[in-house]
Formats: sequence, C-alpha cells, structure tokens
Amino acid sequence: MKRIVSIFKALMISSIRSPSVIFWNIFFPVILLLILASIFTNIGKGVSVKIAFVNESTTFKNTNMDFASYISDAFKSMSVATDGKTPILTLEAGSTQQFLNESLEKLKYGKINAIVVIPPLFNTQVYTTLLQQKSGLSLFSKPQVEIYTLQNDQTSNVAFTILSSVLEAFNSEFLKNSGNNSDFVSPVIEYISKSGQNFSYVDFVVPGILIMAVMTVSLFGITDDLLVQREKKVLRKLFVAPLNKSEYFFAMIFSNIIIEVIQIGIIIAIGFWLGATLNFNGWSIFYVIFTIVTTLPLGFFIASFAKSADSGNAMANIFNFLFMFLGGLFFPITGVPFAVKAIAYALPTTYLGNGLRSAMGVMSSPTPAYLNVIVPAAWAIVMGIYSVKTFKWEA
Amino acid sequence: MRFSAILKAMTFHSIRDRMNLFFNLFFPLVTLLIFGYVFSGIYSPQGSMNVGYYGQVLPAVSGIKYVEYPTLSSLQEAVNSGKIDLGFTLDGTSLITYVSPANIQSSDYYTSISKSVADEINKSKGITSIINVKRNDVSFSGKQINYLDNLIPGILALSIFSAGIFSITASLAHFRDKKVIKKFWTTPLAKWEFYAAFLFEKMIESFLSIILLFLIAMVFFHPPYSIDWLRFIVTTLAGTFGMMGIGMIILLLSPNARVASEISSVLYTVIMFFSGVYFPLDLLPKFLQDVAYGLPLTYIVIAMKSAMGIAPMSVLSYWLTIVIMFFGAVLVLLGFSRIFKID
Repeated sequence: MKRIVSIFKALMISSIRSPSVIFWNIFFPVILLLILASIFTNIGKGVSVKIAFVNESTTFKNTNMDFASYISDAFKSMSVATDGKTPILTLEAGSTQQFLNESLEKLKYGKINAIVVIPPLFNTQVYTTLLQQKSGLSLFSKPQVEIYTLQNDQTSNVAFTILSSVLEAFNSEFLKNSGNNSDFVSPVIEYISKSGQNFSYVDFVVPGILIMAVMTVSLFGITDDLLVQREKKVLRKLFVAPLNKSEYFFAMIFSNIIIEVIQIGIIIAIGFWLGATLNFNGWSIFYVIFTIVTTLPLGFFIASFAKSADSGNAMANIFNFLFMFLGGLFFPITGVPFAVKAIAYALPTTYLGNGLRSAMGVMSSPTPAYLNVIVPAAWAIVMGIYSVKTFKWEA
Repeated sequence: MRFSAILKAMTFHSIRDRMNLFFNLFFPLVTLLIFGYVFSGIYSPQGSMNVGYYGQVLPAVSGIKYVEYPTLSSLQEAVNSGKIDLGFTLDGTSLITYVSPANIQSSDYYTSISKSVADEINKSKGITSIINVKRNDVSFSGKQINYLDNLIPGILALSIFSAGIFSITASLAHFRDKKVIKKFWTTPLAKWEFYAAFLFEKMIESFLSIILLFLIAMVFFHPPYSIDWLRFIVTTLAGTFGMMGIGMIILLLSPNARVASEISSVLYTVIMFFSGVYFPLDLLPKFLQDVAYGLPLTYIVIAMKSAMGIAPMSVLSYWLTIVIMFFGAVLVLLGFSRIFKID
C-alpha cells in the first residue's frame, strides 16, 4: 500500500508539473465549452445583421396607406441600439435601381447579409388585396416582397428569419384589420426539455464535454504513462525496485481518476456558471462513475497494440476524433448517410452521451437505457481483456 | 549537387516517417470525411425529415414524413429524445412546433419547415397572406453551393496551417534535438543548402498533401468549384511558408521538440474554431470576431475560398495577404535563423 501511495504521489507530481497535462486535461475542455457555448448560444440572440432596404413604392406616398413606410419604420426602429445593446440590424436604405444593383454586389461580396425589395405598386396592391379578402374576389395580384440572401450563408439565413418574421407580423396585422385574422395560423417555436425547465444548448454540451474530458485522460494520460515510460525504460527501472506491476497499475489508475474528478468538478462549475440546468441524483452520479470506469480501458487498449509512443499518440488522436464527433458529444448526429450513422451507433460515446444526458435530466435518451449501459460496458470488457492478454511491460 | 543530395535525403526521411505521413495526410483526410458528413448533416439535412404530430392531421409538405402520436407528452418525449426531428400540434391558431435545443444549429431550417406547414394549413382554409415573400438566393459563383462546399477549402487551409507549423516545430526541432543538424555542419554542406533543401522539401510535401486531399474531396463530395489554379497554388505555397514563419517563432520559444510540438497542437486546436472553417465569423460574439480577424488562418481560409471561386476576395486584398504571408515569413525565417541555436 505504501508503495502504491508513493508511486501515486510521483505520478501526480509529474502530472501537475506537466503543462501539457494541465492544458489538455483541464484548460482545453473548459476552453472548448466556452467556445461552443459562446457560438451556439449566440445564434439568433447577440447576432447583428446588415440589411439593405430598397423601397421602390411610388403610390400613396405620405398618406396613411403608405404601408411601405410602416415596414421601413419597423426596420429603422430595429436598427437603433437600446439599453446599450447591439441593435439586431444595421440598415442601409435607398429607392433606386442603382442602389439595388450596388446592394446586390455588396451581398455577393458578403458586405451585407440580405436585401429587402418593396415593389413599386406595393401600397396599392396591399390595399386591393385587403379589399379582395373582404369581398372574396381575386382580381388583382398580391404584393410580393423580395428578399435577397447569400446562398448557403448562415448569417444570411439568420437575416432572412428576422426579416420574414417582421413581414409575417405585418401580414397578421393586415389580416386583423381586414377581419380575416380569426383563423390565420402562425407558427410558434417551443424548445422543450425533459425536466420541463428552460433548456439551452449549454445543457446539451456540458455532459458531452465531460465525457470528452474523461476520455481524453484515458486516451492520452494512460497511453503516455505506459508507452512513453516504457519507451524511456522508466518502467523497467521501476520494476527493478521492490514494486510490482499491479502496484504501478493501481497507482496509475488512481492518479488518472483524481485528474478526472478535478476536471469533472471544474467543467460542472463552469457549466453552472454558464447557466446549465443539470440534475444531480444517485443515477447521474452513478453514470458519471460508470463513464470513468468504461473509458479507462481505452488507454490500455491503445497501449497494448501500439508499438511506440508515437504510434500510440496517433491512434489516440484517431480514437479521440471519432469518438468525439461521431459520438455526438457536441452536436447530435442527424442527416448523415446510413453508413456514418451505423458507425456512430457502434461507438460507446454515443451511448454514454445519451445515458449521461438522460441521467442529468437534460433530454430523454434516443437509445434504450439498457443499451446505454450494455454497449459501453461491452467495449470496456473487450478492451480490458485484450489489454490484459497482450500488453507488454517491456519494449 | 549537394543541394539535390540533401533534398533527396529529406524526401526519403519524410516518406519513411510514418508519423509525418499520418499527421500530414491521414489525419486531415479523416477530419475532412468526418466533419464533411457530420456538419453537412447538421446544416443541410439530406432526405426527408421525420416529423411527429398530435391532434389534427396536418397537410402534406414535401420533404416531411409524418408520424402520428397519441398524446402530447409522447410527442414531446419523441422530440426530446431525438426520435423525430420536429413535433407539431395545432392549438387554435398557433402551430406549436416542438424543437430540441440540442438541434439549435438547424433552427433556421426547422423554422422554415414550420412556416411551410402553417402556410399549407392557411391555404387549406382559404386564407392566404396579404404579402407574399419571395426568397432569392444569390451566390458569388452563380453556382449552387452547400455547407460542405464551404467547408472543404477551410479543411485545406487547416492542412496548410498544420503542415507549415509542424514542419518546423516537429521536423526541424526533431533534427535539432537528435543533433542531426550539428552532424551536417561537420560536412562541407553550406547552411543555406541545408535550410533551402529543408524548406523546399516541406513546401513540396505540403503542396502534394493538399492536392491529394483536394482530389479525395472532389471524388467523395463533388463540389462545384471554379478553380483559379494560380490562386490555389500561390495560396498553398505562401500559406505554408507563412505558417513556417510562425512555427519558427514557436520553436525559438521552446526548449525542445516536445514542447514546441505541444504549443503547436494547442495553437492548432484553439485557432481552428475561430478561423471561419466550421462556423461563420459573423455568428461569433463581437470580441471573438476581433480575435478571429487577428489570426492568419482566417485569411488563408478566405484566400482558399476565393481560389475555389466560392467567396469573394478583391485582387488587392488577396495579393496583400499573400505578400504579408510570404515576406513576413521570409523576414521571420531570416531573422531567426541568425539566432537559431543548433545546440
């Protein structure tokens, strides 16, 4: 026991003194969490889009039927900063064909995100359409507002969503005034969570980051403890001393578990600071421990078939990458080809992610609860047995 | 003659170095394929969507496969667990659309689906909106491009970034640590011959790996690029050279190859999220946008997209970027070669 404690102390001191261990195990998960949270909780909230408003309408100008000016005023009010916050949009306004052409060029070059074009007969067409709705006739064409966006540009998509919501609100208002609003159906988006509480992307990503962090310790920490030390012949020297392999093994496991416990504490604290809503009950604590236990053999597995520390590092990178991104730790795996989905459903991290999110009350698991235990456990057992049989303590 | 001999030796060394091949070729390839499939699935879902509903039967909309749920809670549960992409229920005049926040990246797409369903319901009641909204997508190239087409030049730029930096912080540092360079100095080899052969070989290696990655991307994903080959070649070479300059700074700040390699890995991992490869810079918070526009990789990504003909970059901006990248690196490499200590 004393020898285990001594070697445990030595490994812990070595980890604390290693900037790379501290960075990859503590700072990197935190940085990744902050990056993902700042990007994806910013979507549609803090984002500001640049719009060109082309008002070509020529009829009913400066009258109470100048509907185009109401829309223009709405956009202008959205471009004014209130309470020191960034305005939703930056507006450039014009009414000529030249302004439209220049705006189209700007859009193509990404200098603005969208263009709204109000047609010349807009006010007349709105008025006649309102009259038609009342009478049930269909003699005149409806006004058509054109919105130009940059293809496959996400900021442009956000701009379109904002602009179309404003026009949708005007539609609803016009219908209300024409007396036809009673049955008009409008979409209402609701984000739902398992617990019924407010649920944000941060809730989804914190368990994912937690699994990634624990997995990283095993993949890189244990691989390093075994392969680098074996290559440098440190293990050989250690076993010359009165220390047996199982004592080194347990000390190494404990030192890695301590690092994992520290990183879990930090990630959860940062998660709460970012506003995450996570439940901590017996099941979620059990599942965190289960995650630690089932990811530990990953490092042994790599160490058992990698011939050198370099090849071990390369394999650890590949495993890490596959398990992180195909395991859906940061984004759900949707809309991918069948073959990619099949690989994703064979990975333990897919089930660990589903299980931990379910245990923490973030979302219901898309996979059955028993699979969330059986699949990672099966991976751990197979890798553990393989490692025990094949790992060589000496190069 | 000595130059070609050392160039040959460097080439053999690179080909035989499995780790070099792994990180310069295999790893970017895996990155390209995984990110290609995962991110294009998120931003441009393919095929029909599984949409659940509770209560009133909803009108058919193309691209949607409906599944009926007997209770509201079972519908919500299905959305929450990711069994279906969206859930609908008509509550009076509100089409409640249930979305899981886990899918926030696809929220624009889901909003448009919800709007289409609401429009169809209104149409079936004989109510049509007063104002029609028509969306016109314009593109710089005039071609239909998707998320993946935007991602590929970004992945190539990342490869240029890693090839340039790691060639110095891994390869050159490794030569220094193993005292290979010191041994060269005992031969009649001039310093410039060694450095020139080293840089030349690394440039060729980087260029070939980018070309290979590009060809694989073309075979797997068929992106509709209009390639400006001059810009493509110049961006690859100047980008690699520029990143070698940064690699040299890292190397000089590091006591050994391992530390230099670690610093490069950290830099690579952090920078890749802020350079507009995976997420558009406009969607980042303002302070992160400022960080992003201070990073050289951001400009390599933009230059590579312009070379592929999918994003604009004026002639002046492009050549200014190239000149800064090229001459900046020349200055760094020249300056630091004076203080680069072999021992």
